[in-house]
Amino acid sequence: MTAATHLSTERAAEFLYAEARLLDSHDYDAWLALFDEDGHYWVPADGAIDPDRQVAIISEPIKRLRSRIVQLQTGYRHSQLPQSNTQHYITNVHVEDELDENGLIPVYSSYLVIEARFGDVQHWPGHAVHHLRLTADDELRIVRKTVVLINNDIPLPSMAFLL
Amino acid sequence: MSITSDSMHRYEELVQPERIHASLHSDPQVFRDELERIWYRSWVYIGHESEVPNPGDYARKKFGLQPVILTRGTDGEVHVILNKCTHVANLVCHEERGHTKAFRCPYHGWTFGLDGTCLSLPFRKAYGDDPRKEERGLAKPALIGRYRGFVFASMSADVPDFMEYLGRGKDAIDQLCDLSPAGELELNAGWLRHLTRANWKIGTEGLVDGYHPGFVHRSMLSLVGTEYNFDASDTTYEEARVRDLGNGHCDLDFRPQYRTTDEEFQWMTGGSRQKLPGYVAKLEQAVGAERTHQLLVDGPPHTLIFPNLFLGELFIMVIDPLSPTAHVQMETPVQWKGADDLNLRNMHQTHASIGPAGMILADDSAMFERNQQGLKALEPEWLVRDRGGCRAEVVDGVKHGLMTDDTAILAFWSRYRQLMAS
Repeated sequence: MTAATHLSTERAAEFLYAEARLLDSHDYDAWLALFDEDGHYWVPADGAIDPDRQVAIISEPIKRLRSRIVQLQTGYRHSQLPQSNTQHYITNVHVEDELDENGLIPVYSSYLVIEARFGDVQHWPGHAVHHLRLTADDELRIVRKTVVLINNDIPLPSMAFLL
Repeated sequence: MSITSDSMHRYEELVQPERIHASLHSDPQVFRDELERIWYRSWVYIGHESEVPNPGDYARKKFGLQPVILTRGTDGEVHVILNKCTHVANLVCHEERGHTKAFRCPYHGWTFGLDGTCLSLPFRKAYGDDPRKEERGLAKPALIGRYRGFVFASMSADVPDFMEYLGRGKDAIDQLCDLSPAGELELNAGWLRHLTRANWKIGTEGLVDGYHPGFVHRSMLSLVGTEYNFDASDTTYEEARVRDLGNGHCDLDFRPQYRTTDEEFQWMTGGSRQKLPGYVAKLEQAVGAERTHQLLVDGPPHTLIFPNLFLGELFIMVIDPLSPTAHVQMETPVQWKGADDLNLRNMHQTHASIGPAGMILADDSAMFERNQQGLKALEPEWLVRDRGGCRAEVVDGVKHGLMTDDTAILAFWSRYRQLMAS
């Protein structure tokens, strides 16, 4: 038996917009605080469907993601010197009707990040699936965030910021 | 008169013992000459047999700028065929990888076997009594060379014998494959394709440059003590050596360093017998306790096989040239046959370091791209490559330098000069 998700599209969208704003302002500490401690962040590569068997652009539990952010904040992450200016565009937000097998709320969205860095503009188009948990005090937490770029099977330039 | 204003480049002058001419990293004529004299006139790495494990399997690959297909024929043989219909040049294959009985050109239906043989021409009567199918097969390189699953090819038949070309590069392939209990690799984890807007040789030099890590990877060094551990310099790797292996092959040899403590898994952060019991047991069963210990101390190689295969310890990189100012670094984590627990750990650990978002390789590419930008300045005209020349030693016919020396980079340029000046 699966259960209904009971999350309004409006609330889900507001959550995704707020998350995107933290990313665009490079406030990664606040962004990480949106994740559960057992959270996971995955940007597949080469059309992958299994992060244990296929290489990923990023596939990290929160602990490792935190190291990545510490690396960014050292001031010596050369692929972010200068830093990317990014703007997230999120549309087509859809809360799936039923909870997943872990009792999480899957939220699908169309996901586009435009990046300007060092004289170049790069588009990062795809979709995101956020698996959200509603806590006892009615807060939303990200347990899994997956960003599937539509061009993840062709050569991509460096991407040292976070989608 | 500038040395590069001649219509014919004099490569024997552009590559000198301890400096190279800056035009080599940006001039379109140099790039065209490289295609002709290196990529299409010497041995080049194409792909790995494990990418086409079963008869009928295929994978699209590049041969310089040319699209080719690596296939496994119905007879089990591995083939390399050019992806160009012999009719009007259409790609006969567009899927990155897959399984098929034949390649049927979508334009006019010409059909080819996995070995490139022309199987059928629709409406054949228009070709007369004899459609001469034997003349219409897909083109193939002149030669194929294989060693422990690694498939190389040459467009020219006028090249050294394959094993002669591979030379001491063979030892590096052995060092890598021997870590598998089955003695084989299975490169089946998919590929990261990292577009780097810099000349392919800038990226290739960087692979065997032991001078940069303390600077370029300083942000990673600051994470030591976390789950990441990374360091390299003359002082921390006093015993490691940078080597010229001949034929353009070169490496950073960490084994002398690892052997000073005789500890296992120094090459894999967090790796240990306790964490990888299944793997270690299988390796011991296959090669015995003593050999297993030696393999686990020595670890995998850090070796460039000229011109385009890099055995990068825990990952493999293939250099794919695009233009005078861009190349793609194709990367996949090493997966060893019969080493499931090691493979899973390596998968999770290595993709954090490699590819477009790699905590290590993205910073390398940042350097390569800045290099390309800097090259727009016309002075100085020459780029120095003279670190360590004063202290290089020759041991058993192999030139050795310390970690930060240019010994390996010069090995690449020496072979480059030989091929380009011929």
